[in-house]
Amino acid sequence: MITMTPSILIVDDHPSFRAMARALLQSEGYTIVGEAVDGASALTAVRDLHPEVVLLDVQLPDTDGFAVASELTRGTDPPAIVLTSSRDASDFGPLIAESGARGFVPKGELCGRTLAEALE
Amino acid sequence: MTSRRLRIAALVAGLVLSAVIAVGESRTHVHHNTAAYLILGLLVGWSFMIAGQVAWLRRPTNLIGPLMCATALTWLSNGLTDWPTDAVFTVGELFASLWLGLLVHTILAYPSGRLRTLDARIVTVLVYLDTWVLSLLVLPFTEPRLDGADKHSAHNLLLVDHHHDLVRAADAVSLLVGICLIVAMLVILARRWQAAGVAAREVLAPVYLTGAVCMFVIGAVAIYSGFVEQTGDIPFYVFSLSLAAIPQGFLYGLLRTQIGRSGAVRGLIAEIEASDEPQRLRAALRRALGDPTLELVYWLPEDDTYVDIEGDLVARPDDGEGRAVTTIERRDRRVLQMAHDASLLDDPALLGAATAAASLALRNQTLAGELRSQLREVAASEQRLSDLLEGVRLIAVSLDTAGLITYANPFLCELTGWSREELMGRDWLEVFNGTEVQFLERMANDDVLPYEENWIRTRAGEILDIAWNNTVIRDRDGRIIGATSIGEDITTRRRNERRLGFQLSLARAVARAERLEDVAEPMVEALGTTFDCWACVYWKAEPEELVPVAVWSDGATVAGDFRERVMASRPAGDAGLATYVRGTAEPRWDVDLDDDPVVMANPRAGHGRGSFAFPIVAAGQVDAVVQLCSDDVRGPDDEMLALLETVADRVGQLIERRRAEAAVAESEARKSAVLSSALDCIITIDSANRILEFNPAAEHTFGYRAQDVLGKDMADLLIPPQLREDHRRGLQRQLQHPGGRLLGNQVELTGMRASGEVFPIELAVTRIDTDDLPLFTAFVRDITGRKRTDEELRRSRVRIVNAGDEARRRLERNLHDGAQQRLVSLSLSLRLARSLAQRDPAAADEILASAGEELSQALEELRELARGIHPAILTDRGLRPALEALATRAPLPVELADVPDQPLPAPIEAAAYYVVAEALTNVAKYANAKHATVRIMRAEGQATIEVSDDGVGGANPLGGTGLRGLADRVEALDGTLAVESNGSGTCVSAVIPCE
Repeated sequence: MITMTPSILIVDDHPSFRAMARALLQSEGYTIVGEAVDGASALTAVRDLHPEVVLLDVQLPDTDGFAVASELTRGTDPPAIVLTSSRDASDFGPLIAESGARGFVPKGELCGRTLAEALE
Repeated sequence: MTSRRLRIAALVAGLVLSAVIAVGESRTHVHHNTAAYLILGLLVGWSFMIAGQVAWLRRPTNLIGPLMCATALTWLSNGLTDWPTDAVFTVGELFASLWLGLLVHTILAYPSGRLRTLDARIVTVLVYLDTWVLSLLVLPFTEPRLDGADKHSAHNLLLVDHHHDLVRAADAVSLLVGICLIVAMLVILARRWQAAGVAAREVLAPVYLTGAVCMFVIGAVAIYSGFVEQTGDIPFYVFSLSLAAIPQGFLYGLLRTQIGRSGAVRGLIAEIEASDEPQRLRAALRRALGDPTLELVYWLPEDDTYVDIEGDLVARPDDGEGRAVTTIERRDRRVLQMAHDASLLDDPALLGAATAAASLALRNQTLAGELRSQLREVAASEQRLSDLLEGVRLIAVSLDTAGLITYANPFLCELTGWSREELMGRDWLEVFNGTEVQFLERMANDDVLPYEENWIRTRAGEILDIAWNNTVIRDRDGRIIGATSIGEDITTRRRNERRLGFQLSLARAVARAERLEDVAEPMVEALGTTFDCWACVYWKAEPEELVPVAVWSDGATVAGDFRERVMASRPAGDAGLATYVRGTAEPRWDVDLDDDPVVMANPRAGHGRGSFAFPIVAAGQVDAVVQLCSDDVRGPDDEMLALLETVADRVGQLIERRRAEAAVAESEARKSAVLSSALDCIITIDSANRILEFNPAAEHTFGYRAQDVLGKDMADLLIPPQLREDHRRGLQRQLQHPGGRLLGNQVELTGMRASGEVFPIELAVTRIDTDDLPLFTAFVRDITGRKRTDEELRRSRVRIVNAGDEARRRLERNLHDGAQQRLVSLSLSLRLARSLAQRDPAAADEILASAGEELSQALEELRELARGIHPAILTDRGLRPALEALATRAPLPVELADVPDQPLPAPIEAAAYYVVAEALTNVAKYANAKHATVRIMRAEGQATIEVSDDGVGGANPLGGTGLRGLADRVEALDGTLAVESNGSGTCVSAVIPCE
């Protein structure tokens, strides 16, 4: 069950994006429970923090967002996963749908409203 | 019983019988003229008896004597049949008819006493059968008294039964057969007489004459009495007298020779004492022995030869038919043999006396005889020589000093067709050879050549070559009176030698000849010497004239300037024999040539001025004319013509062949030049896969020398083992079904070098069809280098593509990680700032300030990216400013030592920019250098880009993608990139063609 202002884990290797995303989403009432810089730390953070939503960057230093999403969704009570990228969703073809993610938000369009739409 | 006792017994028996007959006749008076019958009967009987006794006494071993005595006794026994007593009558009948057989026997056995011939024996036996045996057979059936023929009263004691008809039949048969036998006997005697020599006839004559007369009378009387019943006494008288004449004849002949020879032996001794000349001895012996056929022969024991008294060698005397040889021997073994009539053996005493007398003569005669025999031997040898000359298959001829023929043997006549009678006394020069005047001159000067070769003309005009052996004939004073020559017909041999010699020299000339002119020289010499010419010229037929190519001359015969004159001549039109022959294309012989340049060039040419010329035809045209000049006016014979025709034919063929060869050689030379200079390997094989052609390129490519591979199996040498079978099958297919993909197309295959190294080849095969099986020529190119280049190019292209991909990937990542991320952040910052603008303007203001900075960095990164894609400054401002920008951005001092003022082609400038940029990046990253220098130079159609530093070195041109990419870029412009790196620094240089 996703609450109206769900707890969020931000996974991205760019610090400027993590900082801007945290500030933007918090300003819109979201709770940022944690940040991760790569795939491995993302998996650990999800297990430790149990966020309701994981904002997951597609391009990670150690792996990509699709593999992390697959891994997370295979577990019990998985968080809702929203993939994000500076590229457009169409650049990835069917990969997003097949990854088990709830939705996709282009980085440039990230805000509370687009995140909520992606979670629907 | 001895012979002598038998003889006396016969004499006594004759006397007894005579007495009995006389008594019987006187008592019976059977005949009306008893006295006459008695006297005639006794005369006949005793004639035979006396002659028989004499013969028996003189020749005890000869049966003539006993036969005549037996004839006498049986004749006398006829008288017994007139005896009135039966016993005496019967005994008389038993022997009465035996005398006739004995008479015939005696005559036929005379004078030897033996019946030597078969016909004589047969006749004798038949006579016995016809007279005596038949009368004995008839005796038991005859009783003369009953026939009324006889008047006496005695009886036949052996009578069985009287058969008058049988007796008459027997008498008739006996008469008939008897007449035949008499004829046969006369024939035998006649033949013997014919065959007898003179001496023998002397002996035979009396007996044969009387015998023949008697036989004739007997026959006549028998025939007469057979037809006339009452014959009377006359036939008996004639018959008896003729019968009595036979022993008279014998006695006459015997006594005559006996008397004559006795005197002759005395004369013989007197003659031998007077002279020992063998001719006189022989004449004396002939006279003494009454044998004109007598010959004396000396036996020479040293040589076992026989010579007659003339000294002539004779055959060993032989005692053949009717001849006998008596040998007169002396102790010193010198032997005289006397060949004489065999009848002389009948008188051994005479023969003995004659030989004894002759032996006296031997002592003096034999030496002289031998000497004479030697002289005769010389004469005989001359005779044999003469016989030899007559029969030998060589010419033998004698001439007197005027050249007239004094002797000509049959072979010369046979050879030339003249008869001996026609030749004797004729002039040799006129008949056989008019040019032999010098022979007579030589004979006159006693200078005749012992051996010479010449010719003669036969009656039919044929010329024969003769080898002569000459000898002069001298009289007793040593003056030459003529000459004899023995000649051998060497026509065939000379022709063969001439032909052989000529063909040999011509063959040598042709074999040695490189050009046709090389043949002409030896040919004229060979022709000239072979045919005894004084000159021979080879004229080449040029369009307008004849040009002398080769001149041979007999230096002794021609004038000094002959050669120059001929070589200077150019006969044209109708001047001379050669031009004529050129015009007709036929050989020609001519004499008395007044317009011929060769003949006229030699004033010494003989009166005949004979010359012969024949054309040499090549390809249907007269190519040359060969002219021979000779004083020999014979002209060419058929043999020579045939030979020269062959020569002309061969030389003509040679000319054609040489021309063809020259054409082929030219083409070969061209081909050879092509082969040698061809860069491609050219290899020709025959249908058996043997290499026929292997050009220098092939030698170079495959590593074999041509001489090592020619004739060998191509597949074994040039094709890798695993492909050889395919090749052989392909060749077989090609031979059976011409065509296929290989012919005329370029295909890539694999070849093998001498080292065993396998390498790629490009191959094109051409089939060359010949009269025989086809040949195949392969044009092979070693494409190892091209393959390597192709591979290099392919890799280079891959690298360039990869480099492009990598560059784009890097650009995308840089954009994504750099400017894109900053723009995303900027976007989020602006959205956040807007949301904070109302609630917290200070915070929003801070965010906007940070966003502005983010935007500046994003722009800077984009510029850097754009510069990496292509340096804009290079395009806008040129190479030098672009390089200066690089130098400025470099973290170490970079000196631009040399940069051309004139712009380079854009691709080369770009390559230069990237070489410098990459090299400086590497210097900054790895070289640890304090200083770097950049040089761009343009010279001799090349642009050289050089970046050197004073760093630690260790650069590897293939190590990183950077330098490899630079090399690709440079090689894409047909340039090369080199990196030299050592402890004193690194120098990267690129050389790019630049027109």
